[in-house]
Amino acid sequence: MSLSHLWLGLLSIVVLIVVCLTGAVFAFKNQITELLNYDVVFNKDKSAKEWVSPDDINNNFISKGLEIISIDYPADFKRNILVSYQNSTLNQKGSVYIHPSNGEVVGKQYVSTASFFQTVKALHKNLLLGEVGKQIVGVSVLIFVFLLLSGIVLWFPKNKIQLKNSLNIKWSAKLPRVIYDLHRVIGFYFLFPLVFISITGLYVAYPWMKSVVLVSLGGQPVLNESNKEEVQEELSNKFASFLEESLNVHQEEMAEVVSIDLLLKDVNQRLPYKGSRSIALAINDKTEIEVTKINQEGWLNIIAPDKITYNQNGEFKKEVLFSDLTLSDQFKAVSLPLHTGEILGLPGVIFYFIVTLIGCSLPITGILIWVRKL
Amino acid sequence: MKKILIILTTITVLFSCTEEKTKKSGMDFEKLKLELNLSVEQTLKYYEIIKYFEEDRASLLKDLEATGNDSKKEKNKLLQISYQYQEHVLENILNEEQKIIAHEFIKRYMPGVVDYSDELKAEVIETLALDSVQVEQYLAINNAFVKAFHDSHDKFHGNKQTASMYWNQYNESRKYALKKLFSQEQYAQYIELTTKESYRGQFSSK
Repeated sequence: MSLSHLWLGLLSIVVLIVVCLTGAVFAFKNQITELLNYDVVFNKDKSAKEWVSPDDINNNFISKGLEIISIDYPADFKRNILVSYQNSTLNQKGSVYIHPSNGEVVGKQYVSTASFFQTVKALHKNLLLGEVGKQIVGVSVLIFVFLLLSGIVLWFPKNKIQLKNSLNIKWSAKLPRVIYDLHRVIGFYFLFPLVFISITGLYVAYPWMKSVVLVSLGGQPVLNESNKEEVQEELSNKFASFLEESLNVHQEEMAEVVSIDLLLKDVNQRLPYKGSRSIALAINDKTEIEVTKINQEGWLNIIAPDKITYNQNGEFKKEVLFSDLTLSDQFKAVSLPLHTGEILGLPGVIFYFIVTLIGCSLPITGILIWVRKL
Repeated sequence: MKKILIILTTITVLFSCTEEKTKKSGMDFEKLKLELNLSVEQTLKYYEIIKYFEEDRASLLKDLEATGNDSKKEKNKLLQISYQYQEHVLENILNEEQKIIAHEFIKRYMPGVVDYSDELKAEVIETLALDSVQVEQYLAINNAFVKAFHDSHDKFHGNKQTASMYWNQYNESRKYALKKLFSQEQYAQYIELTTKESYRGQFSSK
């Protein structure tokens, strides 16, 4: 066991360090981007108490010859509202922040971090090596899971004295012992979050892992050659429901004007909690108005998206509450924020950052232990 | 033993640090050039046009990024317009036969197109002489196909082979629905017409 722990650790060390470091940086993508655009993202006016209505925002943009694609209301007045729009005549699109109370334009995002984070993300996913890199990362993460599990077997104490030593770092000892303790003790304490992050990462990369997770949560596996028959019915039903929806849309007569204020009022009645709301209007090829409200009042303040859909005439169509979804559908809906830590908001991102740095340190302390033994 | 371990670690380091070969994203116009069998004069103009549009697209994508709304969907829309315009400009230096090849090539590799082209859909409506009710239902069926495919994105995300399987499975559902909508003769014509774009749904070979 210890030999395979060593061999596999050495084999994957570089990849694991790159993946952990880039993951730690990428976890802060939103925070860094917002901080760099602080003046437009955050509202400095503390007197703001009433939200500008979506109809007022819409009318304001229409008067400028612009069509609104979506309006993102934040959870509180500390942030400005983000409006995405298009100019069909000039075939241009853009996004702008507006004041939460008076609706005045504050400005556009002036620092773009997209290129930087795209590179970080590509390094994290495939080491900038395309499909080959993706497989290298995938195998390395699988190895990492094995290392974590074999590590806990190697860590397992035989008696009470060993248990005490295995749970504490002896800082007063000599450096090699401290390094040894750092590897064993920290590895033990962070075992669960590291395995969890690794598995949610593998979930994104490998269909078989996706199937394992979804089936274990009571859902349907990912389609493959061997389960075609089994999954076929689910897919046929899905197609049938979309077909019914499409046929209904074709039969609906378009109303002249839809009041988004009324829709938002309806949303707040149906979902009576405080949370950010995102309104996606029926524009271009979209045939429905979708309002997503983020519920953070549940367990551990996890971010749970609830969605209400209206047809293009503003008539209520369906309500999809996160709490009503099956466990596998809940997992599917939040698999990415589960992997990045965003599911728990900023505290979650900070915790994941620490966890990934720990993940990065384990191969380093591991190799230092090995080098000393050489 | 130590030597083996050191060699293996070194290989991993080198492999990980290798810079990705600058694989150009988007259409492979070198491949199109080979298919077109251009003359020397045409080749010079061809490269001028390709260079101009590649630079233009890079600039447009940078502008899009600055808007903060640079999702894949938005990028694809921008690229689609650019490629269509490029095709239009390329037509000026190509003969009739080459124009068809270029058109088919650009149509085939157009980014963000998962379903049969609008051109083919229009051809289906015309060739099959669909009545207004059939047209409405035909469009709704295609719309359901695209929506169902996109809805399964979470399941095939990042895996082209799985994406192809989902595409084919939903295409079977579409064919079943169309079989009920069309007459036997119309359905046979539909199958015949769609073979023109039999490459659709084969994401792994794109």
